[in-house]
Amino acid sequence: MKEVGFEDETFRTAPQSLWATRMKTETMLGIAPAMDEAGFAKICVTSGAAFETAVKYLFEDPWERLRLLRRLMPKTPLNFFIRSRNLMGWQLYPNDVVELFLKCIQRSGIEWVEVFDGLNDLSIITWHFQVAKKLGLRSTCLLSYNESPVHTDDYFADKARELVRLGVDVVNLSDPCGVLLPERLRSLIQTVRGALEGKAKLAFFAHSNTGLSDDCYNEAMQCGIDSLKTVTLPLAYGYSLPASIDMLHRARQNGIRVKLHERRLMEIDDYFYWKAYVEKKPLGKRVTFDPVEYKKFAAHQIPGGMMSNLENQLSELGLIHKLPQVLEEAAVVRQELGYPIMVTPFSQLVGVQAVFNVMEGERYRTVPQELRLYVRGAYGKPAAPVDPNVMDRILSGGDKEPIDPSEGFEVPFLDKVRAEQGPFNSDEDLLLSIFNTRETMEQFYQNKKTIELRPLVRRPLNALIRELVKRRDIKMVNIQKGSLKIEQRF
Amino acid sequence: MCAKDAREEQGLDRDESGLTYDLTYKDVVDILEVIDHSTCRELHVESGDLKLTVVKR
Repeated sequence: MKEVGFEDETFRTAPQSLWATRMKTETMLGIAPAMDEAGFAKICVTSGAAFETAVKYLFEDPWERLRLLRRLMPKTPLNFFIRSRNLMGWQLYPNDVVELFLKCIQRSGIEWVEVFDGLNDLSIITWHFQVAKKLGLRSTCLLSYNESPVHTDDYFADKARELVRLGVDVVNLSDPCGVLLPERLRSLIQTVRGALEGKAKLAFFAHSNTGLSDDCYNEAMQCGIDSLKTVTLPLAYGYSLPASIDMLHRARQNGIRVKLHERRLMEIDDYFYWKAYVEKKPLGKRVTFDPVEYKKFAAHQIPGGMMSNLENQLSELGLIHKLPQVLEEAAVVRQELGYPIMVTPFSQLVGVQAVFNVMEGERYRTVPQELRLYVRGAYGKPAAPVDPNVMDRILSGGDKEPIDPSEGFEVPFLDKVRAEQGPFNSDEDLLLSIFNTRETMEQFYQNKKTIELRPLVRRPLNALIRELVKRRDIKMVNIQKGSLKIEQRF
Repeated sequence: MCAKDAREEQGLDRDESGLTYDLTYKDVVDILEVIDHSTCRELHVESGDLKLTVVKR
């Protein structure tokens, strides 16, 4: 009987997709023991974006979060999601910073690292896999799917062969924009699996924003995918991923074995319904696939978070009627820039330029500095070359020299930081200081919260009573449950 | 093959009987949302063996 493993993403991509990455450590710790018992093959616990949010907005120590999660989840392998050389923030960091970062996350209890580059440029992240191997960390490389003429099956097969040479344990086909059609996925999986020659496992995940993800997961299971990423039901769908419990049922319908405990999943789902309610956070909503909307979206692929910002900004300027024009322009800009995957920071580069082009009535008249750096190669190599006429336009009057992003990778960086800003209490503190401004770190240390390990007490009836007594518009409550009878007048 | 082994072989090996507590947090959220969104002065809610009466001001 075939078997599929499940990797949970409730702590990482779910809050990033639906809660602006604002899931508190306390919320995670409350359910961590149940997560550890649920039978997940892996749990992805954090990312650079979550580290950044923990320091800047939640005033929680992200290293402490990792150590506590490890303590409460001793059985399940834990995974750290890493965006290219940015690690955390925007700058591309050199080799010594990447190496220290991997050492520190390993010390905190992480066994797996999952690395991606927004251009699928593996030369930028080869070092991560080399260091991971040296340290004994297991590694996954994400290859992001993009709907474009250059993201062919052969393109992905070549990348997969390169990853086998680099010795990664898992290749993860991902669809961050939710544009992959099930029939396309079938040929993609077959081609990439062939390229891997059994030397690495194959995993898959897709975001649910176009309503295609359920069918893609079904297809992936039928094609014998090794592993899928899912999340708890209240934080599933919309811009997030499919729900573990739903995919468990799909697997069973397909006659595929799954090592998940259904009751544990229900407990986890129930917990997050409550947390979403008390923290006033939104639930994920299913999207029904609409072929007309899909066709429009697949052209520009502006992600949800950016779309809402764009709508707000255009509304404030009284220009919301220009939105369809901006989206059409974004589709053209995306093509001209060589089809970057529409994830941070490339979605911003495309979206901002589309707005400038439409607002000014002249294409590429105003060009942000980041876009100039992009077309000179500072972020890596896109899947297709940048349109030469557009490149001339963007670089007119400025520096045109190509930039090799790997030039600075071997230049030591840590010694300089130690000399200028040290001493530091720990390597972990040193890294936080590199990734954040002095002001951010001062605010963090001033406001840092103590994280308490409090066991979860599952008492929904108590929670109901506590909530009712908070309401000022209620003057009497009468509750009967079994032998319990309570009447309270206010 | 015994029944338990057969269930395990099909991936039906674990905890199929649902939650062990009868009133769930999801029920509590649903009840609170009914109360908060209702314009009625008096509400009676029953869920499983839970009977709840709320009188608003």
